[in-house]
Amino acid sequence: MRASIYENPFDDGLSLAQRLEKAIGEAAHLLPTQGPIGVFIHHNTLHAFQHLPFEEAVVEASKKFGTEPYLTEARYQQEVRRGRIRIEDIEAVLDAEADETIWPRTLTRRQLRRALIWPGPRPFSADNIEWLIEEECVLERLRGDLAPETIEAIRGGSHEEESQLAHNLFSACHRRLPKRVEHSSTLPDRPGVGLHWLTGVDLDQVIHPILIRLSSVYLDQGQSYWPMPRSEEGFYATVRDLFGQRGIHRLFPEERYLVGLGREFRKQRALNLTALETITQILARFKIAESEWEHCVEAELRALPGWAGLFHQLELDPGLAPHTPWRSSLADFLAVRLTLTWVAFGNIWQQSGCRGLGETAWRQPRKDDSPSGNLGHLARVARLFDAVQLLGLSAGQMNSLRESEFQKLTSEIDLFHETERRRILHLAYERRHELEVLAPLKTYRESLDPARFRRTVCPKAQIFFCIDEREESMRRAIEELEPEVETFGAAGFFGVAVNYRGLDDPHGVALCPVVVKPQHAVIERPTSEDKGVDQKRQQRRRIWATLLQTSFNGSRTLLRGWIGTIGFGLLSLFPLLGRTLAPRRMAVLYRWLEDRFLPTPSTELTLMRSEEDGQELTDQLLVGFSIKEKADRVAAVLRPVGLTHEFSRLVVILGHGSTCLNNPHESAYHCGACGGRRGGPNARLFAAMANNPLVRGRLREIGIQISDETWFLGGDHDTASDQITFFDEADVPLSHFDDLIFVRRVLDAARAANSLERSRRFESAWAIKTPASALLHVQERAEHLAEPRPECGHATNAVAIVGRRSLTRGLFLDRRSFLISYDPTTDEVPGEEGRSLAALLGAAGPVCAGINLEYYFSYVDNERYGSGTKLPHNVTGLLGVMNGQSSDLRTGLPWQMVEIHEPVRLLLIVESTPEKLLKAAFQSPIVRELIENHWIRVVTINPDHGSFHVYRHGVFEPFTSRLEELTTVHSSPEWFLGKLDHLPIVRVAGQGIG
Amino acid sequence: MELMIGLILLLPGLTTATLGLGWLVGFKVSERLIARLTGSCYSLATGLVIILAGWMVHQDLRYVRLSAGNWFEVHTYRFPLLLQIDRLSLPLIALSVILVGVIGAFSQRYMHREGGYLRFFFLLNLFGFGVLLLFLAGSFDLMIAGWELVGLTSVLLIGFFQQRNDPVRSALRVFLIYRVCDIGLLTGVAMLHHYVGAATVDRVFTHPWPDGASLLTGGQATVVGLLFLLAAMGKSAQVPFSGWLPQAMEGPTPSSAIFYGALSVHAGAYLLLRAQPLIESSMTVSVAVVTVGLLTAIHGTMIGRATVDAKTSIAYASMAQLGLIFAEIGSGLEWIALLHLSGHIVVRTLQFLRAPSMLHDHYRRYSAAGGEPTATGAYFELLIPAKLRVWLYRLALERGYHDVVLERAVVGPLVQLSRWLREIEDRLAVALFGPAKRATYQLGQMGRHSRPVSRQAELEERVQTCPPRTNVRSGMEGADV
Ligand SMILES: [Zn+2]
Repeated sequence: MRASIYENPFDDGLSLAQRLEKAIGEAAHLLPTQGPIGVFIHHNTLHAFQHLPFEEAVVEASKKFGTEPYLTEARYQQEVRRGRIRIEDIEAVLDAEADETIWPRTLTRRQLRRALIWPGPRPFSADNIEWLIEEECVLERLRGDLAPETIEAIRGGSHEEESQLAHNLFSACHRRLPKRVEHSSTLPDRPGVGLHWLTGVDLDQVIHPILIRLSSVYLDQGQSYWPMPRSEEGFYATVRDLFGQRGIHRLFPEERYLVGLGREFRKQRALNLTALETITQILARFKIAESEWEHCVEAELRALPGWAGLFHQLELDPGLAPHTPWRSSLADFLAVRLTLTWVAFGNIWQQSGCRGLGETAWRQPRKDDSPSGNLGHLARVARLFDAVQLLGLSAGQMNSLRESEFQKLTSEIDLFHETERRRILHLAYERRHELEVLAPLKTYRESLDPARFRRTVCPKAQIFFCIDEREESMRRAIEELEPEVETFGAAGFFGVAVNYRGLDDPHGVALCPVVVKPQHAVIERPTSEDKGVDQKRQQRRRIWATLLQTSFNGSRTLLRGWIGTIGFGLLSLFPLLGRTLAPRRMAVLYRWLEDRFLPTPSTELTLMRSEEDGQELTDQLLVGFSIKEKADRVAAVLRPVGLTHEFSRLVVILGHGSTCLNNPHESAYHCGACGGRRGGPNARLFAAMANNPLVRGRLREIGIQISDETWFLGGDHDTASDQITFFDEADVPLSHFDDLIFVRRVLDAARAANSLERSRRFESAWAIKTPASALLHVQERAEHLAEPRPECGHATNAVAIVGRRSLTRGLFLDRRSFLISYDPTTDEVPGEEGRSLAALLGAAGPVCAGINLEYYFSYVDNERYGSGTKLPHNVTGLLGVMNGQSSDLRTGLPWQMVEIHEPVRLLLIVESTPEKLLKAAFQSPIVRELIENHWIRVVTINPDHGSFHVYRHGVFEPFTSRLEELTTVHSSPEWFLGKLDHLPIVRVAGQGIG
Repeated sequence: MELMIGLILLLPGLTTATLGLGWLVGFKVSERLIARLTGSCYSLATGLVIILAGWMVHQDLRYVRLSAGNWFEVHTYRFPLLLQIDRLSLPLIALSVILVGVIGAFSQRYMHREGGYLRFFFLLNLFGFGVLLLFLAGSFDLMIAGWELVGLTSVLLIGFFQQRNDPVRSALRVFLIYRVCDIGLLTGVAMLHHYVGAATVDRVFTHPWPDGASLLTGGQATVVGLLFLLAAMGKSAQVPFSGWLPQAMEGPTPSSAIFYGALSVHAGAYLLLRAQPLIESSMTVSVAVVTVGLLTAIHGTMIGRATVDAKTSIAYASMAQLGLIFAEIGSGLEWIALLHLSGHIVVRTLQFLRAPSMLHDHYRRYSAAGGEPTATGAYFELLIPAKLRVWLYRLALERGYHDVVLERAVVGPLVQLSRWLREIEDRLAVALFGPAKRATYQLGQMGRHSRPVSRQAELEERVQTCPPRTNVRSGMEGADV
């Protein structure tokens, strides 16, 4: 039985099982790479296609997945009408493409495309043609939007009525276009699909509910009350045991289309088949040859991509599971799926009366609903009719065309099909964006006094933020309020890749970009004098947990639920009303209660590790950092940003995270550079390291002069509620008290200003005009149970600027730019030129591109690449969300997160020369791939004289456009208040040191 | 004071009418206006209910009634418009106005910028009107009207996301079960008319709730009681009509909360409470109600324990408690049932609204417990031998095989019957008009499939022609000429 049905036709020396594994592995590439939702990591949705150029990849993927590559044509046309895309953009994009002659001297490809793309052909199809002809009389008149000279051309000198002209032209088209009978047909890629075509019964509808239920209970991380009785051997064995029960199995009635499922599983168990063997057998029973395996396996897995993808992700990295890493394998999932398919197939086959048909009848092709007969032909003629109008050809010309000329024309029109037009429109859309970013930047750069780039004055305070584009407005607000404060942007883990366990955390988690595996562990623990306080705290938390647990589980059980609802049920009215009608006050109350009953001990970090006892390991991690390691990490952040001297008295490091309620996608709002977690601890660690005198001594040796007057302070910025919390405030020396007060005051004012700027984007916050009320508003949002948009997240992100703040300080960048501080002048260490840049790009590049591309795809096809509207989402197994009670696991971003996004590729602007940039960027294969395949757009700004170069088709071309004059406003609010849409870059006067 | 009852009902009625009119006319109503209208409507109603309650307590009234005459009369049948608030309906009316208001406030945020905002609020208000009518009705005839409105809005909100298949399919299914069970209420009321000539509470019961006794004879009470039980079982998702409850979770979260956490799903229990004197006077009905309740309680709690997604697990937990409420009603513990009902409504509403926080809440509990939360399901492991556990687990996972049994016992035979009838019809046609006429006869039956000469032939034909495509994408191939 175990022997293969087929002889091995390939001579690759692989066993059957190996070949099947290979097929599964290949298919797995195309599955979504999202892990459990508790830690959301932004990544390129089309990661599997990253080896292809962007424009090719999106089309390939759209064919493979049935998705949209770009926005719809109608949407781009709307953008043209809105002025977001200009005709000159379209023309410029067309000019950059290769040209070709269609008719010698009279028509080129460029001319044809120019004519067709705007105002754009009308969407004639077999479905709507009848209606358009009868209701809109499209064939009896010319298009209403033709230019007078085009109409003249169509007229060709005659003086006929418009309707006559149209009629003649249409007749000419009709006469010339041969009636083509299309014989396209599709082969079913898996048995279920073929069966559906054949019988009309959707096999997926039969097996998906049970498969989804089985997958979710198996992978469940503790949401269900009764854990599934799992087998050690994995999903397939578990399901087989569950369904293959003997003896009492007769008591189970079986679903109409799943009769014999138990028998099938029992049979498989009796033969003791592995998952791979089961798959092989069932594929053989369906008479699927080995050469077709990959294709069929891929189709089977893609039928429920979310769940299959999760099995695969957990197989690759069991550590992704938040609690229990159940043994997970894609082969198991496929074996269960195929067994279900086989049984359901047999039943449907029989019950639909197919028994007499041959075994392989499901493989019969289905003829595509080619616009059959007259309507389809009519639609094709109408499309030609539309095109020649746009081209301005007269009926006479059409009639007199030679056959070869006519062929050439129609084939060129064919080539410029809808996807192609959308590609051009998209490039035009991006071109306008590029211009609107680069022209102001260039104009501003030219106006800058070179002296401004030199750091000579010691500022009153220095504040580090994450590179996150949401912090741009925060930094601008600070600089606007207090020009004597300097701000920097560094990736939010601040060079400290660490496995961190906070005081209240059950276990440690990695706080660093996903590509990095932390080598060090740090634990927050109470200081020795506060040990008792901590004990009390943890004790009370246990009691609290028990209470919560009891009420949560109790409400779901019978007796406890009975007592609970009768006794305390009506008391829930209080939190219900509070949470919905006065959410912010309720949160304040809860926090007050927490402060009252949970004492907070002062804490310290297990940060020190002397070189000698350096090998103390917990879970293969080094505990703490040695002096050298600390100094290295501090230097790795300070040097690239150019902060090696002129330290202010207080340097603040702010990590960030986001608090929001009722939001399964909460993690997607946290810091991307911290692997979808809060970055506060990293900031605190960094500050503690930089305050260490030994570390400073070491830093001095390598040229970073931190003065003894300087104190580093870590903190956390909540991007939803705009709350800023400092860590270890008590350790700040008394001498720095005034500085602390100063910084606190600046930050308080800045976060209010920041919340005002954020509020402009919320349609429901239109009435808010003052920073104070905006702050209250965003605080309420963060605490509101009903708020699907606690903040806008990374939506609208479009630009990443790697360079000195002087390039952008004083510009209103509309929270759309990642700002990565980089001082090219300090990156000239002989022998190591560009080392800092390579490190910055290697770390920040994939993070920013991942965020940007995930937003791009979730926006252009929200139903398929994204997860659709959030409203029916339902958390399952603590792993992800489904729509309603039983659906595929939804991956990607929900509509509410992306709805204000503008899908353009990241514009990476680096203050460097093209040569240096490429040298540095190509050190990372990922960044190299992103750049070479145009998944990001790259621009350089020369550090010395400020010339701009844009990377196009493999070479850097100079960028020369500039604005006559950069609009100047007095303050940011003056520019943004009352406006909802994206805003152009302007200069904010009175800002900046220079 | 009596007029205030009318006002309480009128407020949501007017709001609904305004929104409905706006919707019909295609008027662009702003979200704020809709939310404000709803908000003020239910705040005002809440105020009225509080005043009325205070007045009732102050005057020590058992009930307040408002009679608006008869809607219509046909021969001896009269449809009286009688509204009343008594000790049974007062807490439910109070909860209704408060909760619909709360859900309105919640949805103002939640549904912001969603395509069907107006539609959602229209349905929510219509539901508010329906549920108030149901609770305020002083006669069972009037109650039917409220009952149907609640059912209708419930179905329409399940199918709120019309562009997807699953919600629409679920909505149809729920609609079907509602319709089947509504027969119970309709027939029950008809029987009341038959037995006592009226269906107003004062004509059916001796005293106001809860002291009333039934004016029907034992046999009559059994018939009506059982019919009402059927109706209540459908609305309150009792075994064996419980399969629809998890499927109803396809709508937006706030509608899940107000319908299946709060009011709609409790309407069945309310009907039985209202008809409590009838149940009490018939041993058969009492036993039936208790049995159904207990079965549902066991069913709900067992299946609920094996569910893994937030909304379904709340749905089953809710079902289990509803079963207990039924059992309480059947055993004559009406005050406990009322308290249980009211408490349960509030608890589940909050739980549904918090359902998307499941992850957030879980991690808070988890970390507070120091990463060692109490294991669940321990009793289960103690009490039941391993072998049986797997068996029971399978039973729970398959949701008690409800749907399979229903399909095999009810749907299957029905389909078979209709096929059989069609065949007879075909044969009759042949017999009457002869084979030649048969074709023309069939042409007249547009859209109906005749039994093919050979199923195989039909299928082969089908392969040649084109069945609907799955997953078609618009215009990918574009404008080829
Ligand atoms: Zn960050």
